[in-house]
Amino acid sequence: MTSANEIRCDELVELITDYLDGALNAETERCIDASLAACEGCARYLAQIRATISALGDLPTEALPDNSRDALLSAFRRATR
Amino acid sequence: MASERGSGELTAQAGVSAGPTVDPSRFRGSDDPFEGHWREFPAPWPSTEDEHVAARVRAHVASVLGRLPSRQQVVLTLRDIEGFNSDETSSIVEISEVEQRVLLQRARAFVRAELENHFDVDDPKDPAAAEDRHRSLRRRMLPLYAAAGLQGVGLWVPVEKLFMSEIGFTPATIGVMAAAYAAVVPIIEVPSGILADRWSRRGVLIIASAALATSALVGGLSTNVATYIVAALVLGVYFAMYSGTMESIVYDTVLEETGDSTVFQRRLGRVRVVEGSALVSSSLVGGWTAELTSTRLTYFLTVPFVAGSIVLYLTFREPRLHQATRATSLRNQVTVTYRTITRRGVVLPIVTAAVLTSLILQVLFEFGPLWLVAISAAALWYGPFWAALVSTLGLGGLLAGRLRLDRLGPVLTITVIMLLASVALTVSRHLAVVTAAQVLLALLIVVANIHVTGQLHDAVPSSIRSGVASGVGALSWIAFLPFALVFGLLSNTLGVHSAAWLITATVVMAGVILGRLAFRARPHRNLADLLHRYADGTLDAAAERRAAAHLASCGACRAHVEQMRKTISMLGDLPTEPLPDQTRDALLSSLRSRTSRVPVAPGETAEIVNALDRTQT
Repeated sequence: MTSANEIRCDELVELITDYLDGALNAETERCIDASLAACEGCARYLAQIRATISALGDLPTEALPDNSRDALLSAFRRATR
Repeated sequence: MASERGSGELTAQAGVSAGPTVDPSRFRGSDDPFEGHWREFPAPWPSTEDEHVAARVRAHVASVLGRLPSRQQVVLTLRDIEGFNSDETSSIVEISEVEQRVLLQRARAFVRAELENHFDVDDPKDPAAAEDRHRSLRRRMLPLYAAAGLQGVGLWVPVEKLFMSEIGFTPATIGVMAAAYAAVVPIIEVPSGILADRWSRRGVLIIASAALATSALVGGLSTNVATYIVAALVLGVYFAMYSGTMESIVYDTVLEETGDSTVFQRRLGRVRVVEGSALVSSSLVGGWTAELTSTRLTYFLTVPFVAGSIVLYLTFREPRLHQATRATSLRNQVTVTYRTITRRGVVLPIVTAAVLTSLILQVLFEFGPLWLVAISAAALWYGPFWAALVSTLGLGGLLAGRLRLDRLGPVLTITVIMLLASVALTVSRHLAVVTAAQVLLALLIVVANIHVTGQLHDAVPSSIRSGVASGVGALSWIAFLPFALVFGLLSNTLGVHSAAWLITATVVMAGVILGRLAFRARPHRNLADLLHRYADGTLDAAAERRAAAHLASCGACRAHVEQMRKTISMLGDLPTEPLPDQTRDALLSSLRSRTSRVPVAPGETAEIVNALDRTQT
């Protein structure tokens, strides 16, 4: 029961990654902008996702040696097939 | 239209099964009229600017990475730790960008939820950490308190009228000046608040101090009426810039440092104590300086103090909460700010309570000494009387947050005391009684006003905080003008004691709304908004019939609508339109359905009807 210009909070949180990647159409993006400005809960959720990304970005990359990345990648491809 | 952009589209394209990434129990269920909205907002997180906190967060994040499913772990690592973009990541792992984003979305949500647990268990189980936060808050606030004190210095304030008469003011030109000042403040209030939200709260406070220093300088240099009026206008700029912005910066700092707003009232109270003390002590020193030297010098001596406040603001670390959401267009921001002040069922009673309490306080400060005139008190008593009245600003600050005005009992108690005090002002001709009644009333109103300010800030997001607070300031200002006019007229014709019935009536209204706010345990923001539209009569016929049917069976909602109707009729007389009708309509329709001609869009009406259907089944 979503109306033309309102977005439910439980929908918004699922679109956060697309939103941050700029992968949404302009109409949806506008809806999200408006919701974020009006809903403290969603605004906090976005801020916390940003904080999470920035904490991840601060992790030292050397914590992940190349061989473990290769191992992960091959595991990934196995899982995909 | 919803299907064009819903998350369903996304998962269909991605070809992966994607249940919700946030625990569905965090949102209202299908039994609730507002299905899909937050049950309770996620609790705010403490600031990670402190390296100690940031290090613990990093350690925790690193420790949970291993618990992610491997596909998510790889995508998250590539995107957020190694910093590849969406395109690069999908070619490295050979999946579509859409699928890559679905995995990333799930991984980020998982890590966020883990961090949330981390912050959640941090507090109650670790009292030392909580104590650390409060100590860090106190340390961070110091430059702000000091700046508030320095900008509160006004050596010229007690001798202003004297100086004005020295440079040729007459009662008529004093009136012109007061009117010019009164016009500037509400015009600049809201734009200055929006500037604080979009740009920087600290920046706006610095501009405010610069305006205050300029005003003192121009005032001191004035040798005629015209230049002094310019100084008064610049003082209006200061006032508009400062009000609303200071409380917002205090609120956001408290939220950022401690993760919640419980100590906001006390921190804002502390600011008020410092401001009040500076005002009282600088008034004493100013009178004495003018006696020894000249009235003109008090203006120049004020400037270095105010300039000092700018230096202190520069050493204050500004909270960043208002920048958390991505910048929206100015148009959207103005619309949302405006709608929040005027449209929300939950915010409106708080706004009304804030306006009423400010109104009573302003009336006491403006007309309080009239009682002394009416009972022919000796000139000797005016000084101590005024000092006692002004000191309530600081004393109220000390009491703020300690009276538990979120409970019905304390609200009832202070309302009764305020009523007794205001009735005393209508009958008593005894100096001690009149003074005590005014001081008591002012004191409790200051406490109530700080309490309501806390509620207002609790109800609005940081991105529009200063704008809303400044809007309330402007409303109070606008409400005061006609009130003061009527009050002055009544005092002239019937005497100040009879005019005091106006104060009593305002106290009753404020008490009712404060009681209602305390009574309303956990407001349902969205439902309140719809009921507001019902109360406002802006629903279409079908929705209105359904709403009426629901109200017939729901006492709580009925009471809420009645309360709102009262509030609406009280606010109805106030000019609350900061934008011309045409502009406002254009702004609103940009947010609503393009085909809508009624104030409520058809989609919203459908939502209301559905919502009511569900409540009834």
